[in-house]
Amino acid sequence: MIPQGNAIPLQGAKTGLDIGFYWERYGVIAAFLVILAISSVLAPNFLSVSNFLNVLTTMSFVLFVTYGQTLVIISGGMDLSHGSLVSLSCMASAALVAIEHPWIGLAAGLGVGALCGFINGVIIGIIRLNAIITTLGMLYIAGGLSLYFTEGRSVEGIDPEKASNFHFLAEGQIFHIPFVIILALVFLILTHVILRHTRFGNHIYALGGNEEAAEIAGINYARMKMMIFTLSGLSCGVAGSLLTARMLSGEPRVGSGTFLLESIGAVVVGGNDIFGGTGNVGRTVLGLMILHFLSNALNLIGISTFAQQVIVGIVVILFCYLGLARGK
Amino acid sequence: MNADNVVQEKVSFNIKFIERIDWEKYGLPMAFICMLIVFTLINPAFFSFRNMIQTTRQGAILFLVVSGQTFALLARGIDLSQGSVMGLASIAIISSIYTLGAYAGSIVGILMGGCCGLINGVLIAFLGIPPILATLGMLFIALGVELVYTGGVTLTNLSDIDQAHLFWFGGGMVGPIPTPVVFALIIGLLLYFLLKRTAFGREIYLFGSNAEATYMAGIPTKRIIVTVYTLSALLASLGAFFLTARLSMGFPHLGEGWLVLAIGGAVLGGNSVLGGKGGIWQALLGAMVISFLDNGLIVSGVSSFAREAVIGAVIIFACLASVIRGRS
Repeated sequence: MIPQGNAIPLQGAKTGLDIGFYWERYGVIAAFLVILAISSVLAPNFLSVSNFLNVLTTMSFVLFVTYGQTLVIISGGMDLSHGSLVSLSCMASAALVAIEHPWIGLAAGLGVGALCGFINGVIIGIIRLNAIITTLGMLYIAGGLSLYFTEGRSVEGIDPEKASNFHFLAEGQIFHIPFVIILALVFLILTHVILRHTRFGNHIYALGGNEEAAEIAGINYARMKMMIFTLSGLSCGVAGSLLTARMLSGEPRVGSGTFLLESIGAVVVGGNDIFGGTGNVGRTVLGLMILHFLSNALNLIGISTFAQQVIVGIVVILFCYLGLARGK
Repeated sequence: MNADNVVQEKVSFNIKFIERIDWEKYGLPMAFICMLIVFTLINPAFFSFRNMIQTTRQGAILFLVVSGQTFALLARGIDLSQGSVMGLASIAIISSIYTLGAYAGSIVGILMGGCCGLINGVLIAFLGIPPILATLGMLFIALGVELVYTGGVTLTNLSDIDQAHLFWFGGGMVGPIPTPVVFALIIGLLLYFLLKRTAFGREIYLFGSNAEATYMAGIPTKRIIVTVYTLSALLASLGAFFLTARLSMGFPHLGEGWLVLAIGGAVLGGNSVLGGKGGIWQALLGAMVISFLDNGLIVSGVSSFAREAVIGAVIIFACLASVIRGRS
């Protein structure tokens, strides 16, 4: 006979309204909607299709990077090399688009990003150096390399005629919807499928939840880390190549601005656990949308771009305090 | 005995000889000396008195910032905000000198930088925000505040007297020794005694290696956290003060790139990112290796862009060596 009196209540079986549960689940969405509502009242021209498309287009270039960062953070790591990897793959693809066929340039951009990510993965997975230090070093290496080859100058001399198809990737429109947004959506679905519907994705969650347990359970740590960081590097390659396609030139400092901070910031603000194990890519997209729509609204109100960085910082800390952004 | 055994004995003797050296303790100093010799062979001007003095001047400033980071690392945290706190301190110093004069203004400016760390500490200790998120937020906030305040321009136009007073701190000499070196030595000694000879210093180590046990032992852990991050920002601001004094202007982007050097230098010197292991001596070693490497590369005629890549690679390789050593 099982004693009935002192049974421990299950968490899910609680009756009544559990605010904490809903807050954790839908708090970020609620915050986003509140921000949208306040912005549309306060900021003139905020609530218009053209403005939304504008924000979404600018956002899309960063989105690719955040997909990679999401994978890394869910697996319990962190990739600080993102900004420089974007610059380096932008330079590589621009150089090859200028000399060779555009698609070779695209492949080079993707390849360089993936290669740097792979190197990160080898060092972290096989030699087991701390991910933060490895990627911080890579941030410096890739940043230096992208400046070194042209001595800080940008890569010019891309023939717009020849590269028109390539240019379409970044600037083209299908039914008035910018093609980058569609690309970003496709990659979003891809990342979601990888995370939620493949064994690899399951293993990413397992690794982030408890590294030791995951390894004992037979997950190949080295191979996982190499794959995750290669994908993360590849995501930078996509962003870098698309930036080349947009500008039709290679800028060595294109990624040195807010790329890295936005990629981590989006993951955090969206409510993914900074130490891994939980979260999904949809939350990351939401996080980036919050950051971008907020700064767009501030822009329209007339607050300088500089002040927006303060806001981003406050949002990160505030969300964390409210339990919307999480760290175990 | 046959010849095989003799050979075996000889080999094992050699291995023992190598094993007998305490690599953890002497490995990096030995590498440092080798590096000095190599650079001198490449260009004898490297070893000239003048160049050595100039390099220690730079190294002393880096040492201050690195030892700040060391405190954060010792307490099993990380301070990502150091770079932008340096920029903030630089701006605060110059703008308070406008009204308060060189000495009082500098102190106020440095304390304002320290305030950022105090806020970090309070966020981490009392609101329970993970260090990496709190300092990431502060990174944005400090950067934004300084850019809003200055509008992104450099602050100059000090009066001649103020400039003369201020310049002595950054570019002056005490006898044959640069002023920052003298100050860094004094501060370094104080920090060394704080860490090794006071109960509070031992508590920081204890907290870094086992936070829960420290709490159970009745040690006020919140005080440790707040102090550690305040010190980190304060030391970064001091570094910024000497840099600002040397340039005699307030530069919002002063700290750009210093974060990597600070964390890289701290870890390179032998501070563990997992907390509780390291100290001021390690910070000094790391800072010296990076400054002399940087200077050696300049003297050897390596372009400034490639230098960045080399330093990043060295940070990774040095940490790799320590990981491999630790495992065997």
